[in-house]
Amino acid sequence: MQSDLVLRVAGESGEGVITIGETLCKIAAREGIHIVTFRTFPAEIKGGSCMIQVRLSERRIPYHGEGVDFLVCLNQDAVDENLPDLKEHGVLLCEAECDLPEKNPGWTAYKVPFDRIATREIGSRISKNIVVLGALSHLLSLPKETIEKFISEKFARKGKTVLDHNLDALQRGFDFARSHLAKKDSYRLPKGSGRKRLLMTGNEAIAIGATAAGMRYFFGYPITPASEIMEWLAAHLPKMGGVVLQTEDEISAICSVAGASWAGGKSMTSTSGPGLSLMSETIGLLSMAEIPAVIVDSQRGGPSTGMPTKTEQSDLLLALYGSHGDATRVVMAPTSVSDSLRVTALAFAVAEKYQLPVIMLVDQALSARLETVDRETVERLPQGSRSCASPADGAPFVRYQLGGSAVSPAALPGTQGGEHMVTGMEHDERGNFACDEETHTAMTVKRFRKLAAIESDPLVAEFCTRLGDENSEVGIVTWGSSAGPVEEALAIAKGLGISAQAIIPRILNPLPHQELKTFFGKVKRVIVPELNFVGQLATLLRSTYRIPTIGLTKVKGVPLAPSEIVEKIVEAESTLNARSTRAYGRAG
Amino acid sequence: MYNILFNRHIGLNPHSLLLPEPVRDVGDYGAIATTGLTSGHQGCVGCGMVSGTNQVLRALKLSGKHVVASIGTGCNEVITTQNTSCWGEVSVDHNNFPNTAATLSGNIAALKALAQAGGVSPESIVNVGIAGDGGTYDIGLQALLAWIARGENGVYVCLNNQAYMNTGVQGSGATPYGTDTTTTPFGKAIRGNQRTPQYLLDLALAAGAPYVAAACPLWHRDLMIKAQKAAAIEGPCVLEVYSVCPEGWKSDTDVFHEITELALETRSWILYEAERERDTNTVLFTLNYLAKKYLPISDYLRLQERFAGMRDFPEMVRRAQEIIEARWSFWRPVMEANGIEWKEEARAI
Repeated sequence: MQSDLVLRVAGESGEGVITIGETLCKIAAREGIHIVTFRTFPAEIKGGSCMIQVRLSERRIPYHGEGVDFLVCLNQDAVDENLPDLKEHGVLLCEAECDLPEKNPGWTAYKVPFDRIATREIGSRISKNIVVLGALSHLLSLPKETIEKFISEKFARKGKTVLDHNLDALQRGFDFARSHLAKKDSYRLPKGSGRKRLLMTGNEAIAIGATAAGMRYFFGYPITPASEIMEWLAAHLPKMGGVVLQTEDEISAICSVAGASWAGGKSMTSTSGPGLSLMSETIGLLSMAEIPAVIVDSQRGGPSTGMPTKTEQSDLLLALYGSHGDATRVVMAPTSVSDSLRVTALAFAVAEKYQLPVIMLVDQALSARLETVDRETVERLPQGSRSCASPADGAPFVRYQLGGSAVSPAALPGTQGGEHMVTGMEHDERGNFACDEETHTAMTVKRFRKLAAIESDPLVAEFCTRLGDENSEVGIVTWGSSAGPVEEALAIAKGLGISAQAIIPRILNPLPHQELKTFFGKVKRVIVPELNFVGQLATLLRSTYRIPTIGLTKVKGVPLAPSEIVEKIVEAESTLNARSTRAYGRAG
Repeated sequence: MYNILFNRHIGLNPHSLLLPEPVRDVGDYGAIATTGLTSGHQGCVGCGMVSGTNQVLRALKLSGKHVVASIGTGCNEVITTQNTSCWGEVSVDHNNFPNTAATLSGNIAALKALAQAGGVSPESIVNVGIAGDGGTYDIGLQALLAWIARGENGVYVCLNNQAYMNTGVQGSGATPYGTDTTTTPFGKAIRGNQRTPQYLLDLALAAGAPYVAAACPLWHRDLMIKAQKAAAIEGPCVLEVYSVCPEGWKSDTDVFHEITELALETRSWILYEAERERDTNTVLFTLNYLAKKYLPISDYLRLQERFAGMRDFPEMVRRAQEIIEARWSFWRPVMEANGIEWKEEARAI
């Protein structure tokens, strides 16, 4: 039995494609199987083609899989679009009416009249996806009782008739497959550990991570692909005594965060690139006034309105440099769903401890993907809190103290003796407007000293990981969700007998200089895979460390494929012994 | 502030204080010579916005002028930009979410300058801005009010489907009280949208718009008269169009007609217009449709599952009715002038 199964369900939006995929995920999570999914969204509001790919495995997996083992197609368009991705000995389960190409490289095809069973036998066309689940449950030996339980939960609120239709659909799909389809392939559901795993999307992980970190004040504005963060919080935060306020635009959202955070509450907003552009001015204010804030940017294809439902990692330079003046901020990027939980909590810990804005970059693919998460992840999240002052009676409160630590204790508004003004103007220690030479220099240095302190804070120590063979001279630096395909590519390259290593910083500002310098000192080639056109991380690395990089960029709206990275590794490895192979790391 | 005058006449009104001649009443829809949105748009089945845009464009083209549209991000943009040929002979500029009206300003300003240089004739062009309720009530409000305050000549159309539909049904400033949306979910702690919607046309009038009107595509003659007036009257005119949305209102796709009728009969949506005479600082209000049945709001809540939660809470239904009655009381002088019995409250809820 195989330990790993890549299954894809494709059809038209509205046919219940996603329900099939999600039900499989729920079953698998309960069995203790590891899951990573990838799904596409149509650009249309209703209709248009969509698919969900689920990779199920006995071991932890970093990526949703490149070729498809088991393809489920609900209509002819789905067959035409997805068949090229089916592996040579894969399985196709499709609508009986579909035409298949005459040339078959070796795959197994099963045809089931899903439409006819749903429309004629059950009398409910929309139950077609449940018929598909029934057939799948026979072919993959899924626990049928568990599916029945999920269906009961899902349709209980819609009344008995609807529930009965769906249970009937499941049975009929199962029966048809059992009596008409002789199992000719060996694919089964991989074996699980039996330990239930949590199942969540990247957006849910961010919302859960934020609430676990103590965030109770959320301000946001609808935007694809980040809206689900606000939606999850709107449904759950009020029960925890928190507040979700939908503002009239992103400028208002970030300014409300500034207000709530100054008042002492852990506050956050989430948006996508267009929203982060609008928030840029206030990032400068948060930096200047030293107010903690967490800003999540789920990146999508840009610039401008761009491709709202497609993924891209093209906001890094905006996150690093957006806003005028020397504005300090921390930029973080989690690599997976479980990583999103941890990094969100870290974002709050750092924002509160250092009193500055933290921008966390995820992307559409990571926001939307479902992944299993170990329960322990939720229990071991980084913690950090704001240093608060106990103002002395009589003495005026000094909010921005110079000398000593770069972080000065804050007094919350309303604290007796702690009255003060926070301001976007340059100011002296007490918050008075000051534009003399010494003050602006001293305050700028104070704000930037925080970044230096963060770099060496034990809080962030485990947030830069090394992968692969530490002696290899082929190096990869990547960020965010591109870490998944990179990890997969390292394993594939190893199988080919080629060694490579990678470093993945979760904090991109301030960069983990010590780790990166050590890394560059060891490798002779640096490949930088990322999902943007100009190579934004590569640009940062080149300007910071003065090293040559090999770019691997892609702007197709979908994640990098491991094979694309392997190709670059092979290419870089083959040039290792060519001329001018100097070690990196002397500069920086 | 302004003086208020009421038009005793109730119904279709092609006349205007501000125009020397009445505009055309187009009559039967099939007989209209102009085209609006043509085939190829990707609106959902039963979408009211498609009809709204269609009728606005057809009305504007009656003047024989070239329509230049500035459209904001939103459903209308999403469904008409994958196949731009659906706009026919209209020139379209899609800009950002916040600034439909600002782009409209740019269009108008450049047109004036080009006209002075002898490039184009402003008489041959009608400028229209089209945005949704999110792009108007929320993120685009500043640009809209500033555009009105500048007194520029053009038409601004708000296609109001009462929430952010293309991003997945989040509440907006135009979302009715009690509505279940993804950001105002109907739950135990909070029962749907707790806010009373803003009234766009009140804001536009206060900002100085010479003409504002509320319309619905079901009454195409009224809508098309209003669009023509908005184009003909000098200055920044605002038209708000009720836009049925089966996807976000969780209604069947074939009850466009029924839902609109219920909106009018329950007075959830009032067809009216207001025109401002600058010299006397007087605003003349005209009611363009009188509810025949005075149905209670509970009837309007029936066909739309977005209201499913609040139906079970009589105090919420009562509150929704109060919001309507408070608004409706404005029209009392017109009822009295016409000898129509003033009903203090709609039929028992």
